[in-house]
Amino acid sequence: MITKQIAMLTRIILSSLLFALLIPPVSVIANEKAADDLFKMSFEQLLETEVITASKIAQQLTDAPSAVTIVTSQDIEDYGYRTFAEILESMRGLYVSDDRAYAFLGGRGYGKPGDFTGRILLVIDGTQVNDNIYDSVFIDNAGPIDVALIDRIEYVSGPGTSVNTNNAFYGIINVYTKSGADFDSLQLSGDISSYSTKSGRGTYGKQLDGGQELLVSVSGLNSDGQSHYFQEIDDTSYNLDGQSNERLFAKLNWDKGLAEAIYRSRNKDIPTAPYGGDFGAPSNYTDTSFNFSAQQHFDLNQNLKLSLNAYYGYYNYEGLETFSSIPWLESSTGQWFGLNTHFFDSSFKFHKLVYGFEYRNDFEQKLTTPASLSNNDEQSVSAYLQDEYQFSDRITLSGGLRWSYNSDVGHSETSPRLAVIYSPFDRTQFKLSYSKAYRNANPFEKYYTDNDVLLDNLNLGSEEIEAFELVAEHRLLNNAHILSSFYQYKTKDFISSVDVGGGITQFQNTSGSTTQGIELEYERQWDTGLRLRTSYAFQHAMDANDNRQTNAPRHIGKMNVTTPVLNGNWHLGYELQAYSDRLTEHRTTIGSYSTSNLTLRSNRLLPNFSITMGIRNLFDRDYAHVAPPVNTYQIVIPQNRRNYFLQLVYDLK
Amino acid sequence: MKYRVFFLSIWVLLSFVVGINPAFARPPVPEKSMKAAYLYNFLLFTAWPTSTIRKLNLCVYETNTIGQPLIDIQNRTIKETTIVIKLISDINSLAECQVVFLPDILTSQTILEITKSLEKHSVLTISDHPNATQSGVMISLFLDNNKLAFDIDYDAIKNEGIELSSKLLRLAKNVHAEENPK
Repeated sequence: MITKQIAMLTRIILSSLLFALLIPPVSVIANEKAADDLFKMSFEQLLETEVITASKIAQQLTDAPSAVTIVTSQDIEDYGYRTFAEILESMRGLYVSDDRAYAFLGGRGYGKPGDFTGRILLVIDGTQVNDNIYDSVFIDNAGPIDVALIDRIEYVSGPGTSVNTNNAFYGIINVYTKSGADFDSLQLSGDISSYSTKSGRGTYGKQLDGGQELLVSVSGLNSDGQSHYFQEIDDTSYNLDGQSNERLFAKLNWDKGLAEAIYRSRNKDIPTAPYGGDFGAPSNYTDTSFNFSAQQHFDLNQNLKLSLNAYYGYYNYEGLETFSSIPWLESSTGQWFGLNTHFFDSSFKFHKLVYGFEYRNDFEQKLTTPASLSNNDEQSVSAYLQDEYQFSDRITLSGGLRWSYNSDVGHSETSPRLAVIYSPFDRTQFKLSYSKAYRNANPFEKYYTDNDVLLDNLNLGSEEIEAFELVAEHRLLNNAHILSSFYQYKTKDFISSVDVGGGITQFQNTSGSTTQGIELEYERQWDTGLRLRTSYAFQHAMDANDNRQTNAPRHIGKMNVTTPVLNGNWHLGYELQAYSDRLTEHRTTIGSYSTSNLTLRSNRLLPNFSITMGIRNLFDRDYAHVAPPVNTYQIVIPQNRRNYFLQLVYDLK
Repeated sequence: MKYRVFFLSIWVLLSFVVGINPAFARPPVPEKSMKAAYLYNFLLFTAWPTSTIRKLNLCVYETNTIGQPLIDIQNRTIKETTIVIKLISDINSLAECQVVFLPDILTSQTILEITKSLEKHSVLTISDHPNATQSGVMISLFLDNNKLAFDIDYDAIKNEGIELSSKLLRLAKNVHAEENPK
């Protein structure tokens, strides 16, 4: 009874907070008065007065002719994002599914639970970091870097530009990190949140006397997690949701180059006992990776620039599960290095040429289980050419071609890309594009076997995607931006886990899927600092048999609002994400849901000190995600109810 | 049990709000008002070769992105000189201005074209475009740590007969010059 009243009270408080969002902030009036006094202030005083940044809607850095979404470090602060998953989930048309082992990204026809986000390319400061066993992208607490180090993230939908490789099948996540001068001090951060979660970070950034910038960051997290009740088996798993991580990041950048090292390790207890393991018995997964890259740019002459990128990557996975009381320990290890050469050529008038070649050697791809061992290596070479031709004031034509040969695939593949960009007016742009890309089967899909229920498939070939997209963008004068996109993605020889009888599965090339969709987005920023981004996405995602795809909501709505409140001393950020129903792997339906997040932060309470408080799942919605097909005991995975965090950041200046 | 955390955070929140010390908080002002105030100060601390002009034309090319705060400058005078705000969309008419503001929504190409055409016309060019300096703009405005800052391209100014007060050169974040002007 009392709980009910408290819940009611909570709701009233929260609704009034929301209502406060809808009326113009009080600070506006105060600011206008202040503005009149500006002409009486000395120039020195003006220089010392803070402004409310009616920041510009961020412009994309990638020249991809598709619909690009950008989240900046300001968004990360205002909405209190703490993982890649939270950042990506705020973006138009994207959604995250969490199976309590990993979080996976979904969007435009992809996002089968349990696919490790392997068809998305993750690029950090120009270097691809997907591992070479599962092609995975980690977006939860296993993510490669702390989000506090991110300057901006761009999400590019669709098969990657011709300068990108293999994993850029459905999209690319481009991460640009901050540099030493952005911190210019030692920064300490501590965070406590629900489910007995604590994390801490120390970051040192400095601009050196020679102009170089140095950044070093160390962080860690520890969480006890929750007990999970699964209604399908009417059973609860206790003390099997804990996790911990450690991350290290170091970056040195100079006038024309950079060197960067990224280390992370995450250990997660698994409460779901997938693959028919012993429910309630100890189970955990550990993912560790190290990435290093060095880049140098050269001006060969006035019109020709050369960029070299040498990279190395290491990935290790250790998994423990118990089957019929016998522990099953498996591991995989991958190592690779590569060299990427880009030439930027503007010798020809009206043409912007990019060409180059890449060599990559995946010299270790080891899979170890108690029943099997396989180790492979593969080498690939590719060459690419891309031209952006300014045909007239209003029309730009863009074409690209990538040729690649992979020793494991055994034959060459050619990916073309064509686009027309037409600007009938100064602030309006239409982009029509066609592209085709391949993804090679990864070692897990091709070579993994437990000699029991999962078979290898040495004949597994590459999969293919063809994409059409029409994007219309219009920038309004009042610092607003409207975007719409129509697209169709068609896949062929799609690599998918197939039941070959008797509960035994194998990865096979299946006939492919088709997805059509429409997306709309409106973004506006006001002079008062109020910022709004709202979007709607519709997708019609059908699988090879023309059945509706699993885990693909038809309608996705997003709204993000942030505003300074209380004289600009605090920032309030509110986000709403709504998803229509979706099919589970058992072809049952799980209902639509919406979640809200509220974040309040201030950096003006004490000098060099900032505080952020957040509530996730504000209205305490009870909702679930689709369980991966390998989960024997679950059809759906219940998600977190209302939870909280408090973060303190201090700059030792 | 779980509401305890919630009420704790509400309590923490309230105590912070009530306890805010106004000394820390000189309220920040909207960016546009600040830009207008900067433009006014640039007029104050600049001398043009024809010192007898009674009217100072402050022109904006194509779109007034600063809005009302810029128009408000019109009501002010500097010594005997009246300030006139003009919105101009013909490049050839810009030479009649003493100051031209080039808003950031223009392309760098357009800005470059304008700064080229204004060479030797004693016109002070100011812009908040991110590539302003590379496009030959004399004073470029930008945000630095939530404060408005500016750079001066002294090389672009020195042959124009315009004189910037040493105060401006001192307050600029960066002064681009082949030799030290200070």
